[in-house]
Amino acid sequence: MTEREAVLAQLFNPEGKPAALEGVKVLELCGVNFGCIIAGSLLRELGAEVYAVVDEEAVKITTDGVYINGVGIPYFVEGRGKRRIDWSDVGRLLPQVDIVLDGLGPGKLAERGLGYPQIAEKYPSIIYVAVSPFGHYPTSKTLEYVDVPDSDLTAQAYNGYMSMLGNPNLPEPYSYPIRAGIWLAWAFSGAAAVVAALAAYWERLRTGRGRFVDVASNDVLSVVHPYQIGAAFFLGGSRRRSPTIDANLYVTYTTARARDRFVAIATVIWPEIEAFFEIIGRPDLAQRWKEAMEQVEKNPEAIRPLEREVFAVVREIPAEELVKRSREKGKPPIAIVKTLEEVASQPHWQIRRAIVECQKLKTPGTPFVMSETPGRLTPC
Amino acid sequence: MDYFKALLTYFNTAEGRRPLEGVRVVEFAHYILGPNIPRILAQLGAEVVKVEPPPRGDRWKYAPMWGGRGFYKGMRIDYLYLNSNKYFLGLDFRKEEGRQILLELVKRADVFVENMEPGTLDRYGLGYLQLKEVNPRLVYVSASGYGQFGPLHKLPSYDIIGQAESGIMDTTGWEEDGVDELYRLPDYPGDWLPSTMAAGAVIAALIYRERSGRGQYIDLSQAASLQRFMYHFVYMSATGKRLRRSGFFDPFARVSGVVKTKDGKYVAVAAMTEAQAKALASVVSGLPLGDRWGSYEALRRWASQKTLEEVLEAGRRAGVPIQPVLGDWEVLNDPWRWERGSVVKIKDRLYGEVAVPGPLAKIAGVDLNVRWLARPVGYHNKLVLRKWLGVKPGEVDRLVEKGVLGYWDGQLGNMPPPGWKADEDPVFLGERDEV
Repeated sequence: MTEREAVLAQLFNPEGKPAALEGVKVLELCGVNFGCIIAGSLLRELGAEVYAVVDEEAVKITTDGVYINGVGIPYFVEGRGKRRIDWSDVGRLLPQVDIVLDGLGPGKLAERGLGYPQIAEKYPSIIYVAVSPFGHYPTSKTLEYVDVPDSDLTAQAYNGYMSMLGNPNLPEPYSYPIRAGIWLAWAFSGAAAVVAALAAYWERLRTGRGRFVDVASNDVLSVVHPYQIGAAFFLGGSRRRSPTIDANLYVTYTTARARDRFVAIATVIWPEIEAFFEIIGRPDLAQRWKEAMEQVEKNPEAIRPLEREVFAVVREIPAEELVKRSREKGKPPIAIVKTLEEVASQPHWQIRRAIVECQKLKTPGTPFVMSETPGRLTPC
Repeated sequence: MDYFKALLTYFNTAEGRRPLEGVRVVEFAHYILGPNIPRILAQLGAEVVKVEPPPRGDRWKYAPMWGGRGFYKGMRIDYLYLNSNKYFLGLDFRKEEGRQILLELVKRADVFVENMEPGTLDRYGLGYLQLKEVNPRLVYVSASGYGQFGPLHKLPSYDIIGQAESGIMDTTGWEEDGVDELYRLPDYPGDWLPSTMAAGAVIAALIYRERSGRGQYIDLSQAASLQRFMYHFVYMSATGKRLRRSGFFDPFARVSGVVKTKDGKYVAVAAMTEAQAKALASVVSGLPLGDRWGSYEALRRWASQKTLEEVLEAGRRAGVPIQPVLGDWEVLNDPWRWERGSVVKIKDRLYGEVAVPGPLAKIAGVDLNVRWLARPVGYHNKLVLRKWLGVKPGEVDRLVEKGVLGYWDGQLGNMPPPGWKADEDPVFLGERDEV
């Protein structure tokens, strides 16, 4: 361990430190909307006290019938450290609450007298964060879908994300658009809700005033990622799904099957692309690739034959050998695509508390590695 | 009470002030992972200075996109968005005078963001421990693939490497019926998601600083941020088996999948709860619950006999999430997005009219739209040094002559629009602000 590493390991030691949001009280009324529930758990990791009215349907969501002490896997992770309350406790808690999380859908809490206009009238300093498919801001779709709950899959679809994922060359239905393997839209919804809620809280420290924050899971991916809108605006159409070369860069920034395993190849700028062709023993391909890229505008298929040639070469080389050659050359970064089993057993992620043991089960930890206020994971 | 009417009054009361106004950020970052953190903070009102060594700076601006068609009036379109609402300073921090200027900026900053290889900035006296001495209230963020410590920390990374190392690629693709494929997640979420999480951590750290007076160091790992949402580890640990890649099925849904309608449109269906599954069964005849492929086949048959609109209407009636799989063009032209402000057309002072994504969340009464797009390296030299340090334009010219400050190289990806004239641009001359 270098001196720098030793100093940093000590600096980031979480023992005995406070959390950033100590004293901040959050009321979580999320129903089965996990974008909203994730916002609550991220705030909890940052140190807020989260009081949750838990929907038993959310607790039951799981896969293959796997429950941990009666709790489905997603809520086992996202329910950590939250205090369960009943609806009857909400009125008593409201005067002390800083942030309300509403995942029930537009107008549903208003029917209980807990909509933002009603709450703001009595408690103007409350920050009210709504997470829903089409937002609470009244639009035609908001009203049309007012009674339809949220789901990550449909949000990935509506954001234009799934249309870029999967292999259109497989037989049906495997050729159809597929999802990111995690709840990506819900993760973004939760992260966006946290950012906006905390910005509003920061402002409140100066003004004393609350705010209404509106997160729509059906747009959150396409406003954070700029490509869906940017590509259509400039290309005058949609990009095409490509399981191999990158659909933006048109280079081998991709996964590929090496002789024995999948590898990830990070070629972004031209020196990295040239280096890649050198390490696979085909420096001649660099010039041909450049020429093909220049033709793509007129002929979208120009790269395809070359692409097949490149991946056929990669398929002949063992994955470890590719990684070794890239490290020796210094570029481009190439990594073996790790299996879940390998990741779970790597000490690196345990040292960093990215994967932790909770009730004797390996569980996602916290990404909030902060020197003064480390992410909080207890009680798990 | 009409909820929506009442709510609209809050949105229609424009107050102008954005929540993070007054927060000052120095960005020393490149590509996407680092720059997206200040992008979000700037969107919320922070004043961000992006420091780049002249003349090239952040190399992401040069990567050819869409076969070269991604350049717009000399700049790359996603770079224009990603670096919107920022001020651009072309500063050679390797020269001592440049480093001193950077330290002066840091003294006045609340947040410093960097994503160089771990340890790089330490060598220039710009690491956390060094800048902490200059400004103990500083919130310093290092963003990297693996983090700043731990056995893997020195390995280089990009979004795709973070994806490979996190395990997320092993969750995305198919592992069914002899089809064994896995894919990178498109459009670099290994950068966008961790950086969005980091923006939350930064604001939390600022809130803590209000209480304690203390700044701190935030060590963001791309891969760890993705792992945070991988419930697969729990499944594996609880069952001793891996949760296999399942293509378009959400493994946590009761019924899910992507099917094709009679009019050839892809549509996603996800009944997450028992109640939703039963509601779906009431409109899809012969839907067997608890049998993934069996229920998929029933859904597929049902959808193949209906148009997209009929399928969506059935979902609305039953209260089951069903939405079309949109492509880029449909996203851009979706009336809902224009109505909500998820897509807006702005008129940038330099680059003209451009369609841009809206803010990551709407905050009632606050306009969080893009105010201006990215600029070439050093474009705001005079403005930034005047505003932050009170430096006069003549002194800036002297520093340019010495090579301490500099400007863009005029290469594609790093230039003002055609026809731009330096002596007619008051912002470039440091005489007025962007807005």
